[in-house]
Amino acid sequence: MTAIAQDREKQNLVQWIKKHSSTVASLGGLVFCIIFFTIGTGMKGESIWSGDKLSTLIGDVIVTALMAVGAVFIYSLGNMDVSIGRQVGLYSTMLVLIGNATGSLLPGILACIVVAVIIGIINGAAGELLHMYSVISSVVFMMVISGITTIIYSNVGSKNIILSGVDLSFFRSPVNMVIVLVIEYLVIGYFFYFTKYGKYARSIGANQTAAAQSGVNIIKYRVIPYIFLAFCLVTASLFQMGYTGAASDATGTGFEMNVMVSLILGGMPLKGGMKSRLSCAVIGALTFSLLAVGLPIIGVPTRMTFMIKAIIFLVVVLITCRQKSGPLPR
Amino acid sequence: MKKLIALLLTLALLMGLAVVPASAESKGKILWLSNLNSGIQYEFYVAYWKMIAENLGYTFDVVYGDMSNDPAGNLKQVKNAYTSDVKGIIISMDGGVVNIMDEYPDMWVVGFFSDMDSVFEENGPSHDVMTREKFLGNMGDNYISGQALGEAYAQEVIARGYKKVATCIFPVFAYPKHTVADAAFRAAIAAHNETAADPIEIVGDAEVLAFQPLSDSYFLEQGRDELECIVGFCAGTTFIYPKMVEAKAMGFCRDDLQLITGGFDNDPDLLADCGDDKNIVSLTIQGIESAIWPIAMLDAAISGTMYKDYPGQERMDSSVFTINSTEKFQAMIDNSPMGPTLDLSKAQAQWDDMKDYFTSVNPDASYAELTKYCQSFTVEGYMK
Repeated sequence: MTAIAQDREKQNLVQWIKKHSSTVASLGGLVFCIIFFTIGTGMKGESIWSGDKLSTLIGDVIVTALMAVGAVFIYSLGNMDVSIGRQVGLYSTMLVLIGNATGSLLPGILACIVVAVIIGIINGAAGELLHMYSVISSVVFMMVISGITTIIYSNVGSKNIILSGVDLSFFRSPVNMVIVLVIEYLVIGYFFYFTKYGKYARSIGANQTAAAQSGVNIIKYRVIPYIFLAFCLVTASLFQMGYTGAASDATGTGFEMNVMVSLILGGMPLKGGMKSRLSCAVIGALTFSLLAVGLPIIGVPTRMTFMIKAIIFLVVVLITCRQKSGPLPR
Repeated sequence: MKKLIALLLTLALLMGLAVVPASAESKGKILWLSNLNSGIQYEFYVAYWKMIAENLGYTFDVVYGDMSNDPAGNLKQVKNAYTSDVKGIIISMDGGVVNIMDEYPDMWVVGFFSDMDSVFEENGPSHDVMTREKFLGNMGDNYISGQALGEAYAQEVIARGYKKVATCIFPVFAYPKHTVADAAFRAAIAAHNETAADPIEIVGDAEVLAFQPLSDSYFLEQGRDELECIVGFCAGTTFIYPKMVEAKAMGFCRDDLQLITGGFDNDPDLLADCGDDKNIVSLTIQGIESAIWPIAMLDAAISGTMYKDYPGQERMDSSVFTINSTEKFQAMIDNSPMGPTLDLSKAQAQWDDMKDYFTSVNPDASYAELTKYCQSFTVEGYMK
C-alpha cells in the first residue's frame, strides 16, 4: 500500500469518526461501562452479570427502554412529549382499578389503549392545527392528567392502590421483559426504518417545509408517531404496574426526564431528523441503568452516584452537541 | 474546547473512582431508605447511625427513596443499592415495603421516622409485613397516632390562651394521620369550650395543602385576618411559615399571629424567628436519639441474639421533642447536635451510654428497656 493510499485511508477513518461521533460516543460509553463494571465489580468480589444483578439491571431498564423506544419517533420529529410520565401513572392506576373491578387485565389494557390513542392524536395534531409548539399540548396533558390522578386517589382515599387477584408473574420475569423489549424494538424498528411512517417522521424533523412541499401530509405523519408512542406507553405501564402490583399518585413522576436523559446518553440528536436512531433508546437506557446498578457495587456511596451520572451526562452532551443554536426539541 | 472539557471531566471522574475506599471487613451492611436527602436531621441520622454501625462492626449506607414515595420507585432504589453484604434496612419511606421484603426475603427490615404508620394498620397497604418474621416493627415520627398529635397541639393552644385559630393539613389520601389529628384537635378544643368562660374559635375547616405553600389569598378569606394562631399538622416551617411572614409584612393578618407545627431546621434565620414572642412558637419533632432503636433491633436480628423478651412486631411512638419556649429553642441551638453545625458529641446518648442496650454487646439486654430508653429522650435533656 502506498503512502498516499495509507494517508487517504487514515483521513477516511477520521472523517467517519467525525461523522459518527455521537454514535461512537454513546456506544463507546456503553462499552466502557460494561468493561469498567465487569472488572470493577469483579474486584469487589461481586459480578454485575450475576443472576440477581442482571435481573435488577433488566428490571431497572425495562420501563425506561419501552418508553424511550416509542419516544424516538417523537424526538425524530423534533418534538418532545413531557406528559409521558403522567400518562404512565394514569395507565398504571387504570390497570389496577379496572383489574380489581373485573378480575382481569384485559379490559384495563383496552381502556388504556383507547385513552392513550386519543391523547396521542390530540398531542400530535394540536401543534400543527393550532400553530403552536407541540410540547405545549403535552404540558397541558401533563397538568390535566396530574389533576385527574389526584382526584382518583382522593376518591379512593389512599396514596397507594394494590391489584389483587390477578397473576402478574409474567411482568416480573426478566426473560419476559427482554422478550417484550425485543419485540417492541423490532416492531417499532420496522415502522421507523422500513415504512413511510418513519421516513416521513424523520424528514419532518429534518425540514418540515421541504417535507410538506414534497407532498407529505404533515398532520397525518405527525399524529401517527404519537399513536406508536401510545402503544409503547401502555406496554411500559403494564410492566411498571406489574412489577409491584401497585400504583400510586406518584407513579410515573419524572419518567419523561428519564427518557430524555436516556436518549441523550444514547446519542439521539434532539433536533430530530434523518440522523435519529432507534438504538439510542436502548443504548442510553442501558448505560443509565448500568451506572445506577454498578456504582453502588464498586463501593461508590449513594450520594456520589448522582454526581457521577451528572458528569457522564455532561461529557456525552459535550461530545455529541453539534448545533450552535436551537438544540432543544419543541 | 468542548472536547477538552469532556476529556478533563472524564479524567477527573476516573481518578475519583480510582480512590473509592476499599470496604473494610465487616459484619455486613445496613442501609437506610431515607425520606430526606438534606437538612440537619438527615445529617444527624446519617452520622449517628454510621457511628453506631462502626462500633458494632457494620458498614452503613443511605438509599434515597423515590422522591414521590412511589412503591416501584422505592423498590428500584433499594435494588440498585443492594449488594450481597446487605443484612438489614431501616425504612423511612412507607411506599413499597411489601415489595422490598418480597424481593429480599432474607433481609431484616425495621421501620423508623415515617409519618405513615397507618400503612401497617389492618387495611393498610403494608399490613402484610406485620406477620413476617423479618419485619422488626415500626417506630414512627413522634406520635404514630393522629389522635395523640391532635390532642397535644390542642393542649398547646389552650395553654397559650389563643382564642381564634385555624388548622392546615396535607390531603387525606396522602397523610390520613393529619385528618385524624385535625379531628382530635377539634374535639379537644370543643371539650375545652364546654367549660371555658372564653371559648376558642376554630375558623373554618382545615386548609388542605396539596403539597403547595399556603395560598396568597388565604388570609383574605373571612375571619382569617383575625387569626391568633395557625396549627400546621403538615410541615408548617416549609408550607405555612413563609406565606405567614409575607402576609404579616403586607398587613393581611395580625402582627402577633403565631405558628404551631412540626419539623426542625437549623437555618439561622428560621431559628431566630422561633420563641415565645416570635412567629414560630412551637415545633414538635421526633426525639432524634430514638434512632438507637432501629439499629439495635437490626443488630439483634442480624447477629442472631434477638432480645429474649421481644414480643414480635410492634408499632410505637418515638421520643417526642416539643420545643415550645424560647429556652427550649435556645437549648436546641446551643446544646443539641442539631445546632448551627452538626455535633454528635452533644447527643443525649453517646456510644458508652447506649452500648449495653445492644444484645451483641450485652446478651442480657432487654427489649422492654431498649424501647423505654429510646422513648425517654426529651428536649429538656439538652437543658441540664
